[in-house]
Amino acid sequence: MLLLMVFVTLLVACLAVVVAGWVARVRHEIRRRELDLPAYLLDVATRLLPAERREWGAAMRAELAHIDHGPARWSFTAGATWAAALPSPRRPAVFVVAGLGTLVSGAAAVAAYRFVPEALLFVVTTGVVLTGYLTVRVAWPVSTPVVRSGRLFGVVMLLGTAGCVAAVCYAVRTHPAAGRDPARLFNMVLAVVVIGYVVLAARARRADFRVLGWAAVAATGCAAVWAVPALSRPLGVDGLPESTFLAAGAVILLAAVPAAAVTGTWRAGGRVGLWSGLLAALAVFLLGMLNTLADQAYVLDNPDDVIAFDRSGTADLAGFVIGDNLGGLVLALVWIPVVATSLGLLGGALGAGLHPRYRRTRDLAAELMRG
Amino acid sequence: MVRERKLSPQTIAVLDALAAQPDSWRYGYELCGQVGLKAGSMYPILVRLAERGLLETRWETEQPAGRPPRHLYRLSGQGHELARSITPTRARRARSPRPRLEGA
Repeated sequence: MLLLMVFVTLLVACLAVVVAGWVARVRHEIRRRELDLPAYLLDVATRLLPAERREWGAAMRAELAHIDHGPARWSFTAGATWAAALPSPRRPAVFVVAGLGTLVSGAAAVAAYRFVPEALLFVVTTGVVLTGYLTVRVAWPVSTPVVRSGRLFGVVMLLGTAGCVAAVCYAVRTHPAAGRDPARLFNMVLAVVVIGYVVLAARARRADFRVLGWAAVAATGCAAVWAVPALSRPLGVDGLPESTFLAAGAVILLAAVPAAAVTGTWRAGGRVGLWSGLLAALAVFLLGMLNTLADQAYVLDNPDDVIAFDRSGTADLAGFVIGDNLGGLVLALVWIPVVATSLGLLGGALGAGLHPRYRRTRDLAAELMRG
Repeated sequence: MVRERKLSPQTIAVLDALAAQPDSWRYGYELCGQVGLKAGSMYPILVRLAERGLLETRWETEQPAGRPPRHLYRLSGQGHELARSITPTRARRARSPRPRLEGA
């Protein structure tokens, strides 16, 4: 229950920060480009149009620029935004993806109901959100080019995410008590998190290869930091000791500095933190689940856990412990990337200041090579 | 060749409005006002008509000060043919009395 409250508080705080940041950005853009709110909203809506419809977006924006009456501007903007949001009838793939997604989701839900009923909520939520996301992506495709290293990064993330889902399904199948409350509530949270990872894996394909390179360095560093205690002694149910998290944080911070110095933007540091944090969180989740499932001697060494176990009404101690750990690991999938991004932003702020020095060194090296 | 497809009353109204002044170039907001459609209905209709080759489009050449040029529309040859073929049908429908329901 405490974990859930912490998670909800974190989620609300993150949402508040995102909304406040978005409002500040909109206000800044409106002032900078001397637009009013209807013109800005229409601009955003028409920017998402596929290439074959871009001219129509420009037509609607130009038309709005000729309307002076305030309510008429709002009315036109509402209608034109709606028109821009309609998927192009030239994209039958939209209906194919929506139909296939619904079919696959339905089949997965039936299979879950039959074999792993405790995971039904998770499967249904994942299916619905993923189908909706894929349909939207096909209806309004992004024209940014795909980077080869990004594709590899995305595949690794997808494999890690699939591994997490498989580990959860296995745990719930072998220990049904692990899927009971409070872990059942985590079904939906896990579904949303898994969708987030899939979406980000798709986005990784279009990320800056320099950022991904430093993120891979940071992730490898984290793996090395975690491998030392894992190889030197058998891990308990709790998994990794706290000191390894501190060392991993330092690795991410250090990797963010050169990424920002090379690209010249502090945001690159944040992205290094995000991508490496996502990989690290997947590794922590998988390692934690493997440790939990491999442990054959489940004990409750905390008095609060003993009380919670008595109240749970289950006789399956292993299932209770696995469910408890599962909740903590699901939260780790959220907080590790958040903390890593914050550390990355800090490293990015340091690294961006080094950009002029990096450029001078690069130019000098180029001259030396030519000479 | 225009594919035969049942036209909505809104599309017919837009075709009528454009056919009323066949040589003039019209802009979207003007058509919205004339036909009584919101932009959310008007632009998808214009997009479909243009994609089926029933509309000619161009950008305004004389740019008003401080404002971008507008996108202008008029019926193409095919569009005129279609508008002409629709009008007699509609007139016939309007002239024929509605069947009365017995016992109503």
